[in-house]
Amino acid sequence: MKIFTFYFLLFFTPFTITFGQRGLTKIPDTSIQAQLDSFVLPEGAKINLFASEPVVRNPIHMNWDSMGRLWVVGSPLYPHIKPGEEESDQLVILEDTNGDGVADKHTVFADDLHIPTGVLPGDGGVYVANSNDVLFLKDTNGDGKADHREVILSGFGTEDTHHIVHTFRWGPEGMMWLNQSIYIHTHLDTPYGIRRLLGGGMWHYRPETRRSEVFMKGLVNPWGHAFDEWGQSFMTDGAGGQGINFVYPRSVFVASPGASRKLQGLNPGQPKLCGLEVLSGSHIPEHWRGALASPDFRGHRIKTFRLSDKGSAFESREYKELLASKHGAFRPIDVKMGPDGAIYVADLYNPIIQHGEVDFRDPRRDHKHGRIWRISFPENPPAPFTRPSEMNSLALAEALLFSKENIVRELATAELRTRKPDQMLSALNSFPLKDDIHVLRRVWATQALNQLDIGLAKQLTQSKSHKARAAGLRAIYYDASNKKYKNLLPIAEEAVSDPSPHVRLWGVSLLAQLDSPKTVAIALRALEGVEVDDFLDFAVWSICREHRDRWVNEMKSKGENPFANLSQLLFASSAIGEPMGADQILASVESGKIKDDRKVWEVANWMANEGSPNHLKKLLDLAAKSMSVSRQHAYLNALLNAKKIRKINPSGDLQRVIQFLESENDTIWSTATQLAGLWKLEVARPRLEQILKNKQSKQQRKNAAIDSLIAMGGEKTRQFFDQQIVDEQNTYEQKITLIKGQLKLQPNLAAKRAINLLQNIPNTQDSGSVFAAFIGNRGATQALTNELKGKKLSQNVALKGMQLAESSPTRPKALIAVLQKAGGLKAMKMSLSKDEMITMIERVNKHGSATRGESVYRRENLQCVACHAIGEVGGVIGPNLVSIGASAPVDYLIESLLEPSKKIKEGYHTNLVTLKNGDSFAGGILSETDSELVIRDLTGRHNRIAKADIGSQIISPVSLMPVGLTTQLREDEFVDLVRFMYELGKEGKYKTGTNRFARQWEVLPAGSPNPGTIHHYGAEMFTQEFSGYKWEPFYSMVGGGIPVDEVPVALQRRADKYQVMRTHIEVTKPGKHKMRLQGNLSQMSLFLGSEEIDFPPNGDGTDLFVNCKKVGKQEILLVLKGAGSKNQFSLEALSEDMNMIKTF
Amino acid sequence: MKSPTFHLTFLSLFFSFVFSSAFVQADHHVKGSAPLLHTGDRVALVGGGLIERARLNGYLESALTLGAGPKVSGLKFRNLGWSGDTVFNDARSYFGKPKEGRERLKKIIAEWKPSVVLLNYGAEVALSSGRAWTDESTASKRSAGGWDESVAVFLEGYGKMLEEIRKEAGDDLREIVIVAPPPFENLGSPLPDHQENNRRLAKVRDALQIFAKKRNVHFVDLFGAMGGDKLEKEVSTKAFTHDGLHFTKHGYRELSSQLVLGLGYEAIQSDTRTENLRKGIIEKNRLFFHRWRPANETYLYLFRKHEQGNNAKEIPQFDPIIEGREKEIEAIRSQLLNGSQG
Repeated sequence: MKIFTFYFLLFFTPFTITFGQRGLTKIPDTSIQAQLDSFVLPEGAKINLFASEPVVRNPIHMNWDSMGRLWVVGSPLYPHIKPGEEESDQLVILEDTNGDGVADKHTVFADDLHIPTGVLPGDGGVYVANSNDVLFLKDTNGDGKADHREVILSGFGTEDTHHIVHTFRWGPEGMMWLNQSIYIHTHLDTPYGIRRLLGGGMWHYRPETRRSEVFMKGLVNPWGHAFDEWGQSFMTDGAGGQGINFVYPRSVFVASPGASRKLQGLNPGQPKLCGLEVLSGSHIPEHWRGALASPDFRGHRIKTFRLSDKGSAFESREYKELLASKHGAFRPIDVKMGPDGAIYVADLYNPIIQHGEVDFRDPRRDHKHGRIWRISFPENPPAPFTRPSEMNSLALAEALLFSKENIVRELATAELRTRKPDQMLSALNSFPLKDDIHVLRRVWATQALNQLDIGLAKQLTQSKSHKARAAGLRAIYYDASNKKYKNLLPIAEEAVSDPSPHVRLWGVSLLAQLDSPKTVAIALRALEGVEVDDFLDFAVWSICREHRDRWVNEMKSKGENPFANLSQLLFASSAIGEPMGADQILASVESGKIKDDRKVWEVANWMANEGSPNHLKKLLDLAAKSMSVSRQHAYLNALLNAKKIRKINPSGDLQRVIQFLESENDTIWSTATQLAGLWKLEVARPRLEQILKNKQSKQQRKNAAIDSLIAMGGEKTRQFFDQQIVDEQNTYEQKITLIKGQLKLQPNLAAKRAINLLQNIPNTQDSGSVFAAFIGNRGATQALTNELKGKKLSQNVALKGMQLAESSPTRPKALIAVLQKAGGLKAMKMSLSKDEMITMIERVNKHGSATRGESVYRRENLQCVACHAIGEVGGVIGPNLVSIGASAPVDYLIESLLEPSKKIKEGYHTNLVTLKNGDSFAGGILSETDSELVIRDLTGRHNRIAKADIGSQIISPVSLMPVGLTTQLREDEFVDLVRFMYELGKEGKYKTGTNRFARQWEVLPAGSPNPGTIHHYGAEMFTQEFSGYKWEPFYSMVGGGIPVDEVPVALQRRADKYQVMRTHIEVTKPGKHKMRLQGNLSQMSLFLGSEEIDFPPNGDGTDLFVNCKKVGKQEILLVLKGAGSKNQFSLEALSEDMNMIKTF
Repeated sequence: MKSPTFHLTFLSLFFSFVFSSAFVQADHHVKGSAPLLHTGDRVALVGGGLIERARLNGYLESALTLGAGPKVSGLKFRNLGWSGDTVFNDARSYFGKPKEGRERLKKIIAEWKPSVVLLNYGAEVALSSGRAWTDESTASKRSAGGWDESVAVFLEGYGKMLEEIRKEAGDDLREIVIVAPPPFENLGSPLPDHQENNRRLAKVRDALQIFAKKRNVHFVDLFGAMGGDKLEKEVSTKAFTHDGLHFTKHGYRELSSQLVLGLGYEAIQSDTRTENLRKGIIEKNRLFFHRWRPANETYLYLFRKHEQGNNAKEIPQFDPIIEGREKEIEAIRSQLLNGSQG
């Protein structure tokens, strides 16, 4: 086989043709039959076409009305109206008049819409999302077409037309719910004042009162929202990838601008999902009922999830697939249960989705087709359906309270709102109710009439079922801010001490709506006596902030802790980021009343952020007195952050920090050293210089010493650096370390020295880190550029610099040009010509092997795994690739590998922050407060940056993915890699299934230190605690298996090579739980905690029963002795009562 | 020299309810002053949701352009209203800080160089007692403070905005008109009772009147003209609004009449001929909206323009279409006005 390195491809002379999106050359067959043939369905299910073009084109959203008709909006105009084009998108009503499961009648209700993304019939007309506005359309003359048009809400942003207001739904309480996505900035003028929502989130709107309020914030593309049986809200995200999100009032999720804290979804690592519906009703097989269905529109399938209670929130587990397809234009984007009990799926029908990465006017974009599919189970009779519109009051009330079909109750709720309230209330009251769920439905019905039965709602909060108590609180929550009802405080007060954390969560949510000055003091009680998860913690944190003035004013006026204990005060003060009660709390740390190390860290961090110079003095006192390394670190680290972020020093004598330069602990030493520099303690200087002169010094200490000397500054530092750099005695590494310091003080001199070093670089040395240091600072970049003019560098060195410069977020063009000249390099052109691209695509299709590609993908030096996850496992820096193959054409994949910056996925744009001193930081903003910004960079490091130091902040057009990662591959390897990516998420081997494999492992690196007792314990030795074990992340392949030869050999003793891995399980019930172990059993030993699990000594796999005595998180350790074997192994949870979990 | 502040009288109020003739005589008090609009004027309408939604029914522009009468021609209007906007223009910002919104307004003013700017702000202040009505960092906290502080912040912001508008428009800017917001309407429970809000809005009106006088700019009291001073607790029977705040078509028609009367013009009642003009205006406004506030700005002009920014080339293609519409509007207007006179 002819092998030429792909590397050379990059040195072609510049092309004149820039390659676009020509890779998708095969437009999928547009026939209905082609799609029908491609579907994969679960047992007993059948799919049929309900409606299609020309009646329905590019459907986006749909909902049923109380006559059992389906209202569908679609948008051939998407993604952008052309100049001269009419606003001509349609709202169509579809009817199946003879019950055969096919729409036989259609009415175009409106044909003058502009990218309608939501539709909700009700209130005698229909609500429609129309870009900036929400419209209410009505047919007043009975001709079936809208003739009345009213703008109900206006002020929704349109910064991106797949983000505009969407996902309309009636809540069980009779409000309209609506969502918006990440780029949208909304400012609604309402009769209650302006309401704003910047970024993604969810609103509710009550038509009677015209009140719109924000319910939750965040999520990238929250295109799905459903209520469970008890009215709890769940959302999906079309770009966020955390599966099902449990949301509640004031909760904040990923991508919410300016948020200092965010919550997580329930299924990290899921593909992007659009739409959400609870499968329900008597027509579908029982096992599907209650599952949440959400389309994976990129992967051409519909996923489902099952929920169970967990703490204050829920656990969500992936369940079976409801539908899958191999058809490239099948784009399920909405799923709704129908009146006949069947499942209806809106298929946007488009081989191209989105318009961020593909041109608005790409000719492959479909503007003609669209399909509504119907999934039924022919062996079961259709669900009984009477049109709520035709029911009398009594029948309607009965349906609302007792119907077993969700869809009937939903449509009856919309119908109810059009009836006379008095008649309906008396009808509702005529049924005796026994079960909590029926009481709840009556409460909802009264609320849907905007006449909440507050007595009944209060009664619900006293139910035996915690779900009913929570639901009662939620019902009261909506009306609590109206000030209509009195005595709500005792209800909330009781709820925050409820045995169920879920009820507490709603108690705190209700409190946030109330006016009492005591709300925070009451809310803090929710943190005591139960296990507090992030959801509950967040709710309490949030009310501490929102109602800050209430408790802070009380504390200031009375001068004492307004709460029951110091722990509560610490929580509330840290939440608002102010040093309220700091003196008392620091005194308790000193007196030993606060014992827990974690609490001490919490106090120290809080002081770092908020403490006064006197408080900081106290930290230095505490550090001096403490014998614990962890505590010393906590205090010193806090002092360092206070200096770095807030620029403040402790009061009193600073010299006391010098005593820590005696510490044997590197971290303590380094922290104290940095402080000495920032505090300008010249007395430390000689010791720091000594560290730098000594070749044996540890790198951590050297780095700290350099930082410290730079901070001290002055002529002495400058002289010392340069002396050392020119000193022939010093090694290359020592000099490089010093140049990195020098460039911050004397960039021009540093550049001269660096070039000199690079021109004589030893073969064994890497030039990357020195280039990176110069590129990371604006002034230094400039200096290097100037000094390099007219100089020569070896090709390899110049190339390294160019690669780094090309992929740096600052993309310094002048430096790239001089590097090119210095190395005699041709322009690094990463794009392929049209012909080259076509050839490459052909090779991928013909010769690419996904199996080989997966092993290329997993190579350590390619760094793919470090930044990208596939499903649940892998890094979080770059987009999750779980269904990339199913959504992206081959040319897009090739282009993205070669030119990462060309198309950047939503939410992965890099923020580039340049400090006043020229240092630049690039990455994603993790959190933000008034004084600081936390940026996660490419290496995953969290950089805390003082806002005071920031010179400029922009969204960089450059991807974080380094250019040239693939240059080290041979062409055939590149082709295999693309092929592997192209298969990801498609039907077949490279789609992550619902099997619960242990996908996330940790391994001991090669040649790990060990306690030396292997001869005594054998494999069991690795179950023992040992501080020398440095576990490193390790991931399974897409199929769940682990290639044995990729696992490092942690310990070799004579002929025995031990490979050691661990993962974690979460046990929900004690008992013997089934797992499946596959692989060469003779090579494996398996432990749960320290207990060895028995299984047959030979064979290729076995199902085993693990005796789990306790519940909660537990470690599974696997010791392998199969180095060199080409086998794979896997471990899978089968029992419902245990699950594989992520550990890092 | 600026013309004196206009005041509405009972007479104008009376005439606005008279539908017998196509022309309604305006207030004599104002008649003596020079007309606001000149031939070729470019009129920018700036404000929050009240102005923004006016684009959808065209009554405001119809009333102004017809009210200006047959002696002037070639009037052009740009609706720069933005829902949820305040005097800090924070609703106009996208990904940046609230002040970015001011930049957006300045940009269009600098490009279009209006000769007349008509502004409507203040309802948001009256509706937000004790709650911040702006996100602008220097003003947000103060706007949530006491009532007097909130109004002070509002007026400071208004003054600054006027300065900026003057600066951007330069010498082309001849007239500024400050319009006090119309009253909130009490439509009965479960819609909110606006009695208190209207009392506050009356104070905003009073403050704006003094503000306008100090700056020697025009002032129109839509609050008084739409009956704000007489509104009490009882439920309104007029139903000028859907929800107490947002005007119905009928409400806009009335409000537009009152505005032109307040400017010393005659209010022309609508008939089938004026309907054609209004439809033309609605279509022109629709096109201008796509031109000025296109969807997908993230890709067209902002931080993802390196991906899909090439599509921005389409946006100026709206210009000739808008121009064509404006010619049609001018032709209908001319026919209407000259026809009625002759």
